[in-house]
Amino acid sequence: MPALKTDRTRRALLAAVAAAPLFLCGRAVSAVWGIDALMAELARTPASEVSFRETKYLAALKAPLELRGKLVFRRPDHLERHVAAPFEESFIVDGDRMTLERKTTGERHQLSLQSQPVLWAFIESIRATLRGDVATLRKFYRVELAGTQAQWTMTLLPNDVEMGQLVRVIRIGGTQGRVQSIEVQETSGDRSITRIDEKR
Amino acid sequence: MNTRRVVITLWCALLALAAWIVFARTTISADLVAFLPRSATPTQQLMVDQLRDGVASRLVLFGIEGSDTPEQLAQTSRAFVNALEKTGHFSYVNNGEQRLAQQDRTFLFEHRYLLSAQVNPERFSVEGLRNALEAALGRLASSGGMLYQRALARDPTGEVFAVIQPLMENAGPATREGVWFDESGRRALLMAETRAAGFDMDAQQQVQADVAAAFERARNSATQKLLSTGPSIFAVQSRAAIEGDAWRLSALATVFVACVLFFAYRSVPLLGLGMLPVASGVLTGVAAVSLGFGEVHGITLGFGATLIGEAVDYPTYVFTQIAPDETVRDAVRRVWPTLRMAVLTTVTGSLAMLLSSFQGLAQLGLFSLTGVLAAGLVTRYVLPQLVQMPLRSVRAKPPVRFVSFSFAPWLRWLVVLALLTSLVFLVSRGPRLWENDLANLNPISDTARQLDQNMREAMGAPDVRLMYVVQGGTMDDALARAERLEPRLDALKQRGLIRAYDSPAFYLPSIDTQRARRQALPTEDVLRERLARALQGLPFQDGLFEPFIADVQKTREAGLLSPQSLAGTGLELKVRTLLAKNSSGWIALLPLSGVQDAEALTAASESLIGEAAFLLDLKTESNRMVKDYRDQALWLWLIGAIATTLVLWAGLRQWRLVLAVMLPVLCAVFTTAALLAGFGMRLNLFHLVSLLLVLGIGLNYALFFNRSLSTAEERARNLFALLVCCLTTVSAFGVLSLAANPVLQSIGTTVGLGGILSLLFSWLWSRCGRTA
Repeated sequence: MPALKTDRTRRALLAAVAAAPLFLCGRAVSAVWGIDALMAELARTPASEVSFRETKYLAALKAPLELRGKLVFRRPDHLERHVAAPFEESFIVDGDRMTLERKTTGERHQLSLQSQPVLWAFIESIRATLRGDVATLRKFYRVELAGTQAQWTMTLLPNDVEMGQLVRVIRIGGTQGRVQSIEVQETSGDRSITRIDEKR
Repeated sequence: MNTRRVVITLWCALLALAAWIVFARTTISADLVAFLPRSATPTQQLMVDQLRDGVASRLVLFGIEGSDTPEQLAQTSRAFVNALEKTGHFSYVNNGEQRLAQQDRTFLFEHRYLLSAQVNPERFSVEGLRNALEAALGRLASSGGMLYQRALARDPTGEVFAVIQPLMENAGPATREGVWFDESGRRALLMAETRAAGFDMDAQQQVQADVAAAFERARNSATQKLLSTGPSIFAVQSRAAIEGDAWRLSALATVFVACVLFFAYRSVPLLGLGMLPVASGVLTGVAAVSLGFGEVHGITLGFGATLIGEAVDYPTYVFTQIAPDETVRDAVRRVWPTLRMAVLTTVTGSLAMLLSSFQGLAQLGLFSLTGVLAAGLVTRYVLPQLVQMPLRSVRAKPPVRFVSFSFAPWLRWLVVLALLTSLVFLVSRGPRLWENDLANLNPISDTARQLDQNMREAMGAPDVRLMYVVQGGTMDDALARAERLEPRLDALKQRGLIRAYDSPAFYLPSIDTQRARRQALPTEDVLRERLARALQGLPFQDGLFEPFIADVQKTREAGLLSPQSLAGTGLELKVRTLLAKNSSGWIALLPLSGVQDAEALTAASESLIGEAAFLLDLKTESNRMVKDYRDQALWLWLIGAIATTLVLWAGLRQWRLVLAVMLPVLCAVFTTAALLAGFGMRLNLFHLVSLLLVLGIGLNYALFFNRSLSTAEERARNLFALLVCCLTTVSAFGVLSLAANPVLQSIGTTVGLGGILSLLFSWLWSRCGRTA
């Protein structure tokens, strides 16, 4: 059956030719890796629980302040930040409700997030990032992305005037669909760096 | 001739005097609350004041809807807030952004050491400062620290949080896009407080016009529409509705009545003359109320004119009964004994109302007393003088033959049956018979009421209905007592009975409290030394807290806060609405929000009585007042009926006749009430007042039915007069029953129905109605 053989060869050839653009495309995708791809990757994580270390460099203080705790996120809009040391504090955002609880002083505050635009903008820098929601991010910030899929840095510059008076820039760094660090630079010169350790 | 001139001159002079009083000297008040009791308990007085001027009456809720996306609505909501603020009508506008005006923020921050409840000597001891500084460090390091760090150097003890907390506690409904929305997300919500009192109708009308214009500017699409609700909105709406309805329907009723009367009289001049008694009555009535009470309420005017509606009938009784070759004068003389009884019975009924401690009822009583008396006298003495020679030829020609109709004798027992059935039915309804809710007495449509309820629920509006009231001798005393109440209220908060409360003392503490707080502040040297010790081991920069030391010194040296210190801030009005002067000094109001169980709260408040403080529940209190009002009206109605019976006896001298007059009328009144209740209406004050009119009209019918008349023609004429009277009443009030406005409607239905039943029952019961 020579005819068949040729036919098979031809088919294999055709398949190879047809597949070639796919390889090329695959390369092209990784070459134009950008904000949408990053967001899609981030969006794939339904929930996460990680521990963090935050170092605050504050002008009011002689020495940097070191905080430890854990961050919990559940899609679409539940975020918890529990500080374990040097004091205990829980900060829980669920939808529009924000609850701040300080165990050491027994204080407990509950606020509507949207009634506090600055705080809201600040929360969304993390929450919208973890959710992979670029639309919300762009509502509050000018978003710039640099680096590669393996090591990226997203720069957030506040749109809002009131927010802009407090915060100069927020930089979020990570690898693939994982956030590794959050750096906040305030206009006052104070800054904080949060490093996220992988857990689980 | 001479008598004629004297009578007409006197009449004209009196009318001119009445007209002068009415047009030059009378103020017409539109204040609904002025219609409420004169001899009230202090609680009621307080409630009335609150209903009139309090927060409750000034609160307006707005809803914006008609866009597909919340973004568009939120945008309009923000623009609308700005537009509303620009009108200058509002002391406070909020769409959920909870923006505290800059001057308020500044005021609270500047005076934080006098305003904060945390300020005491311990707070400024080394240990107290140490604790405060550690807390400050925590706050600085916390998630919201960024917002706090600017104030840190001036306010390390965080007093501003204690000061601002009460203003922040009202969480309100959920927000979207930064502004309040209802649950569906299709309606943006706003809350505002007018500067003008809720029942200052002219001011409120202006406010509403400006609000509409503001919304016109603020909205970003033609499909967006504004919903508004609140006591002041209702007041203006119902006034407009009543005015609109009243004018339209009065015109219609007048046309109907004129048609009926023209058919009866066949004479235009008589038609005109027939209006003179009732017109004189209205004028005299208004003048009398004006003299007696110093002002006339709009409601008196409206209902009074209705109440003396029976006076339209007086000339009818005369004009339709003029026999051939009889002068008007003779006819009047002939009819007068019966007509006099008709007038006297109504006057007696009104006399009872005059005794009411409710100003509204008393005004109505005086109005109808004077008006009916005047109308009766004009019919008797002035009309015959006017209808002398020139008009004598124009005589009414009643179509007598139409009306020689009678019933089988056994039918009269239907009257007794109807009376018994109605009484049994009315008694079986029990308390469900009555409308107790003052809110439902508001002449507003069900749609408007439903909207109000929806928006209030969605807003979780501060429960303007519940508040604590503290009585003090002076303003400062009231403030001090309010402060003493705070721990008790904090306990209630802990128990979850209330979510939050407000107090004027939060923004203007009593002098003693301010002095104590100021004395708790250490001198500069002492503070510096204690602060240094407290700071040991803490990571704060050296010299960071110099602004704090300076601020504390400033407060130590500055004067204390007085009401004038608040001038120009939004807090000024807040304090002013929470503090009020009354006859025994000053009261402070502490409104509550987030009350889940009003009854449990009431029980928990029992123990406060000794502290010159009590829980004021506007709803319970106003419902109680409505009930009092109604109970009194009922009693007066009963007294009036008894007095009327006595007057009847004095005039008729035969119990059999008195019964013949009273029984069918009472039967008509009760059957009307039973029918209304049977159709699912809850009886209110307006129904009661209308039933009073039914009593008046019905007695006239019954009196005329029971005249002793010798000839068949006389009887036919008499019956014709009655049919004409009933037809005018039914057509006039039947038109009113078509009104969209529930008040006018209930009056129209009641009187129309009552008129027909009165005629029917009197006819059935009377001698001339029987074939025998």
